[in-house]
Amino acid sequence: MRRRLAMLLATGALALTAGPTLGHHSFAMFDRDNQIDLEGVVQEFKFANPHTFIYLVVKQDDGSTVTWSLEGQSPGLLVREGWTSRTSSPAMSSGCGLPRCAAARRAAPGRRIRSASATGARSMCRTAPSASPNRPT
Amino acid sequence: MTNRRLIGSVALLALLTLATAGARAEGEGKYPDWGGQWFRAGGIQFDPTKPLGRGQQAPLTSEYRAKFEAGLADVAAGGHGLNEHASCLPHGMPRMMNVIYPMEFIVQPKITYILFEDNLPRRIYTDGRSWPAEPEPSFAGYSIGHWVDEAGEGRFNLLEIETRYMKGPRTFEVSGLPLHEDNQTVVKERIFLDKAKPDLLYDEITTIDHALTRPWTVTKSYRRERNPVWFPNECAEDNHHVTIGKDDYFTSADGLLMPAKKDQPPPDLRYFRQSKK
Repeated sequence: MRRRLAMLLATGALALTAGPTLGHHSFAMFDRDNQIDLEGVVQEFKFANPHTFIYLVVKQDDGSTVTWSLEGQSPGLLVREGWTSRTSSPAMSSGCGLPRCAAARRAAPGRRIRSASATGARSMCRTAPSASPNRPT
Repeated sequence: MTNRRLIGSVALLALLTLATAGARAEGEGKYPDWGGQWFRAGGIQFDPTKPLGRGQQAPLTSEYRAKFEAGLADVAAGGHGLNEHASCLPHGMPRMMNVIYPMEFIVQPKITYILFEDNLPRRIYTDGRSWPAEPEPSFAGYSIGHWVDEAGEGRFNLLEIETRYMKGPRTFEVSGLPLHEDNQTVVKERIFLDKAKPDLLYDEITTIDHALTRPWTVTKSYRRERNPVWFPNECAEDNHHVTIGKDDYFTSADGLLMPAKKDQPPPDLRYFRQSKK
């Protein structure tokens, strides 16, 4: 179902730790050494296994739009942090840092969500990226 | 595959309902109380005392170290390397005991089940049986266990398990640390509660495998949650990782195939009608 949920304000913040791009499932395609800021409209928050996705429609300078696939944590982890399938914007408008998926690696928009927060729930990504041995993904 | 797992889960639930009606073992009589929900106490790596990947210092043979390094190089380029779980292949033994998502023990006198949120159950037979003649291999393998009363107090405290007859490909962890392709792995485990902390469980795992120069022993620990919330993790539900042949791709928001690596060519489309420009 394609419905406009709310504006998602994306604000980059952290330089991510260099290291092997390893997650439980696979985040190998993401370049987590860089991150970018995105601002757009949430088309869909997909609360599904093995990982959640936010589809974000971002307006380009020329007025056209590009839909980004933003991959997040698994529902099994998020549900224990207070997130549910009904957790959606406008509560999500508080911030989202996204590691840059190097244009060199990917030909189309796709990003790993570094963090996103919602009222009444803890951060979507609690700590370091999935290269951290202490963090399931 | 999801339907098969659902049917399997329903069948298992029915089985457990019948079993518990006739014989209760959990925490009663001779058996330890392993009830509740168990989260891993360490990281997602195989040896929780060491970093992922090369940091594990796994005793790999030179042949399998070369395979591992090739896999890491593929990961660095954006691929999955040797981690076939990216395409939702089961973890298998012994990786499933990394317990990415929590597990549950159902202890019965003749069998102990280990249920996982993201893997099919393990069945550990404790009825004194011998190894079957030619069991069909599975990712979790075939497990035979026996209970031990170390203190001679009339109550079991230790479950010793041996697992054989696994299928592959399998790795120890997400980094792609490989097990041998011959799938002759033998996994020996000792599971027991901490004597002073009843909400802390240990699993000493010794893996014997032809990819290793010697048996490799690690000790994992798990912490108990007595008021569990369960959340099934069906990997195939919305997996965007696609493996075609030996190459890895990704699907976008609009469901189209995307490259996972720099300058990656599209898959071989020879069996599709080519559009004319």
